[in-house]
Amino acid sequence: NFNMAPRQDVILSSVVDADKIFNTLRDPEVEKELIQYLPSEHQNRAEIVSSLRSPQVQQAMSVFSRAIRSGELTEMMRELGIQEYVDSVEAFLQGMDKVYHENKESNKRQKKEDE
Amino acid sequence: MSSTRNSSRSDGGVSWCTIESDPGVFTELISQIGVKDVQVEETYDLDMLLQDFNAVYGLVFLFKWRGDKDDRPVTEHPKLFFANQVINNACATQAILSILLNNKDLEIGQELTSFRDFVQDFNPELKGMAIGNCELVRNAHNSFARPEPFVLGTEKATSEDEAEDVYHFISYVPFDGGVYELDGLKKGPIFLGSIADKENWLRVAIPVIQQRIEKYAKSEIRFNLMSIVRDKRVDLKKAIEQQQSQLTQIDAKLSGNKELKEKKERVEADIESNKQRLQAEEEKFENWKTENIRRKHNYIPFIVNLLKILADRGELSNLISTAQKTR
Repeated sequence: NFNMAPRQDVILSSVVDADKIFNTLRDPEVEKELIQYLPSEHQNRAEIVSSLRSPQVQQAMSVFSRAIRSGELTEMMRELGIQEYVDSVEAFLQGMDKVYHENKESNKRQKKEDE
Repeated sequence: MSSTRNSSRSDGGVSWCTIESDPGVFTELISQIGVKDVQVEETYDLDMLLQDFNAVYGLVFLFKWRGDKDDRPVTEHPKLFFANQVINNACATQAILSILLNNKDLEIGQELTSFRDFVQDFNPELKGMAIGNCELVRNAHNSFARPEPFVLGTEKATSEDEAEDVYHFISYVPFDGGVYELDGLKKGPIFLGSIADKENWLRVAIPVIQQRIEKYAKSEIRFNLMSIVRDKRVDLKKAIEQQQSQLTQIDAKLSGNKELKEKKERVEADIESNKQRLQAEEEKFENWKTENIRRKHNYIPFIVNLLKILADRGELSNLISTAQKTR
């Protein structure tokens, strides 16, 4: 079964688990942002949570994880702003956190300094 | 035969993608090629299939192929549609098509009818190639292609693992007073037995399938049985309609008649149960539709943007550590 993750790596579907992030998913701003990435026939709020739970999206996550672990998504990682070499889901998620969380924090600091 | 490897072959036509063997996929595919009121069901219980009032047009048996020897003689029937398997990845669609094209009660639409007329005098191999070049069928089939968001060098290794799993699909159909097994890798159809007028053809087919199931179950070969049946919603709606008109008739004669009163209650209960079954079928079709839309969509941007949002809100690092603990 190719869905099996190497034991040492983080499982993507357990990070973006609809139950754990339910409140975030129901935030109107988050809904508005995510809806556009759903199939055109499915662009409604309810579909965000139910698609995340669906076998098809779970499948997409394992395909994605497998691709990340191959270490060959360098182009995509660069586009996302991740500089480090990534060949595990864990490294990818840490990279995302660094780029999209820490950047924001430093932007905030920047703003404060500007004021 | 379908294999995840070798997706192109010199068959002269455009290639066919692999599609998921799922009743919801096949049901939508059948309707896309213009055939009315047909649905596909996974079948686990052969006895129940025999008892169901719903019309069964054919059965598709799929199993992991291993090149078994089969000494049964093949036969010929000038009117029976039989095609050889020459197109990679088309096997499931071809097995279903063999059932649809051999049924006279079905409304298969103008395009498929002219296809059937056109290939009628072709030999089985030519028929197989004609399927490969039939745009209507190929386009419907290929519309169920899974999005492949990544092209990777190491993908090969995985495909090689999967290439060991080669599945083969064969059909069982009633035709002109006989029951046939249609296996596109054979030279011709295999005659399984005759059926009397109005006799249920499954009585002939089921023992043969039962034997196969026992054989494969013993050697732990994966298999699956699907039935191609009339859209259950059509039969249920008709039944409810009839029961309701029965009810009106009873009502007219009712006044104090105890027997009729009981009959009325029975009919009402039947209506209620058929309505519930109808609703369950409607829900199943809705789910199939939803799943098929999802199957065709690339969810990677959705996942990546969800991760961006989680990171942006400062939630991602917590989620990572929780996931690390539970792994």
